Amino acid sequence: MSSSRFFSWALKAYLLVFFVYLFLPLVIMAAATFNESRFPTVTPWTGTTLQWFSALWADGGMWSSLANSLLVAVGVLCLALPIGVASALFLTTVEGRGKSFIYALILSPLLTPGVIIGISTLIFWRNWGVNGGIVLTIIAQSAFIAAYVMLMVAARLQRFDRTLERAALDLGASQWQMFRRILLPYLKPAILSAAVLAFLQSLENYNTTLFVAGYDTTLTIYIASKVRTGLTPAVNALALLMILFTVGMAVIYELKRRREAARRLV
Amino acid sequence: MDGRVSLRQVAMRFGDFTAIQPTSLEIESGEFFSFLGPSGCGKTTLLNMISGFLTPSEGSVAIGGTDMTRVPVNRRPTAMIFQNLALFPLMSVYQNIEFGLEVRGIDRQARRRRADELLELVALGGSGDKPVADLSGGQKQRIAIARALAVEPRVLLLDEPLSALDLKLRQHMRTELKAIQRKTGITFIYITHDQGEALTMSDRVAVMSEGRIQQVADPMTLYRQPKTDFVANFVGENNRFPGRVVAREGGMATLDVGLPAPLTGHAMDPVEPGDEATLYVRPEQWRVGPADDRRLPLGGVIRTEHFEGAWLTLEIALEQGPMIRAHLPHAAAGELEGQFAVGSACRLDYAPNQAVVLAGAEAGQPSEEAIDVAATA
Repeated sequence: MSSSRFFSWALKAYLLVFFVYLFLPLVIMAAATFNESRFPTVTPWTGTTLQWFSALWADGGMWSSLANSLLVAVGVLCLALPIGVASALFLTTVEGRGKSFIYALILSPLLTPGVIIGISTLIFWRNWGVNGGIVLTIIAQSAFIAAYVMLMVAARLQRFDRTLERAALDLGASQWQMFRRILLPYLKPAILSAAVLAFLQSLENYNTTLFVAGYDTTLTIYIASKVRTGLTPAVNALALLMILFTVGMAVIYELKRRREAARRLV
Repeated sequence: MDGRVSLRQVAMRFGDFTAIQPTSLEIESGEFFSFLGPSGCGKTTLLNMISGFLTPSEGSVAIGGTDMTRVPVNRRPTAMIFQNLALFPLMSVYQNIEFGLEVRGIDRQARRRRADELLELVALGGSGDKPVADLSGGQKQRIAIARALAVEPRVLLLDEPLSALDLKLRQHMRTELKAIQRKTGITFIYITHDQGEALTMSDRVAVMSEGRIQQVADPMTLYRQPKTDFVANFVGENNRFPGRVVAREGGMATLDVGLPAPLTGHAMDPVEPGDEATLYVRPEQWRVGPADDRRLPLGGVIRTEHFEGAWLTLEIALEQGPMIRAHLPHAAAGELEGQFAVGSACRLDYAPNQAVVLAGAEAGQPSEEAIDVAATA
């Protein structure tokens, strides 16, 4: 066997192992949805059923916590996107020693354990009479999600040709017109992907949220609490629906992208 | 429409560094005016002060008789063509051209009408819906011009806009730019380090060096009557002969430059016998003859010979003197074929009334860059 054939074989084997590692848990988790067993498992297979979907449907706590999670995620988008974009813009205009200081300041929440962000947010806002709940969750999550947004937007902003800005001003545009017509369209792809990332980060967050959610239980907190009181495959049913939703969106996006690419070629 | 530009004692300092020495200049309305100089001479700084990207440290800038020193860039009646053109990449040709009108709140139909007129002017009618990425280099150039003209500037500022184009296209665009300038009657202020561009297009040229304007003149005068050593060396090629004035008669000065014969030239500065001065002879002003032609006063030995198409360049080591460069027209070179082999002796002469004498005799040679630029132009 020649060495190049060996390597291509080894690469295929590696990919196979990698994908099994990545997807097998998801497959097992999805399969467990259809097991009659009262615990989320595939062994022993006690019989095939769809009952966990109806159990999910009947679980009011699950739906209200999902609603809370979505509400928080939307709130985080509204807060973290403008802050992140503004910081990125600000960082590209300032120079010198102040720049690295501000950069470190904005990034520091990413390096701080989420638990600490949660606790310190709670303690800080208590002083002003704000207790745990949706509003505080939005504030706490935005503290570090804004940093992600800033990083993604700043990466694209660095490649922006500043003469375009000069050209727009020279042609009579105000700063705001320049921003809206030239800079914002340029940053749009980065802002959109930052929005997706921010949304997912918010939805899946547990450790920060735990401290600031108060009585407004989010989905992650609800599921975690269920682990203690007894988790049923209804959670698997919810996870399966979420996976199907995500895959569905990805397929729609890809089809749309291909259609646009084909139209550009014509 | 008054497109006069008046600079009064403008200076620009960045910390300790003086980018522009106090400078005054009047550019006429409708003039094609160029700033020519090596990179770092301050020409771009000057342009940025006229466009409003920079506020001068001292002095004032007026356009059309109105003081503009503190007016921000987006309120000045100027438009700029950038070196990299800076077309908006995400917009169509129409959107690019209409941008300046759109931000002024001009309605859609009027915008489109104006854009179509301008596309006609730059000979690109019908391509308004194309994305700018689909255009060739020359087409992008024209769209940049159309976009700048759309806002009806009194002054169009051009920052080396042709440097990215290939040679043929560059020469074609020179003609085109000049034609557009005539048609529109707008003041064009052109920045370049390429003397070919400056000399062919401009009504007047300001030669700049180290933050100072060396000379302002029409291209012909600049070439024939340089006023400073820098201009004599930077614009076209020159052979320098530093020496001392031995005689002065009318407009002519005779110099001892250490050669067997004294050299005479047109005195541009008021020099007197005994003064230090430098004589300049352009390479094409030499008359080169055979070694036995005693009517020619200077002797030399040919060191190198380069065929350059329209002419022949000889490098000749003068007897007891420096190396000089001479351009021989092709025809003359052909007639004298065989006589100018490398290593053979020759005699030389030049027409004194075409040579120039300037005061001062620094050993200073032009900067390397100036030589490079002169060689490529």
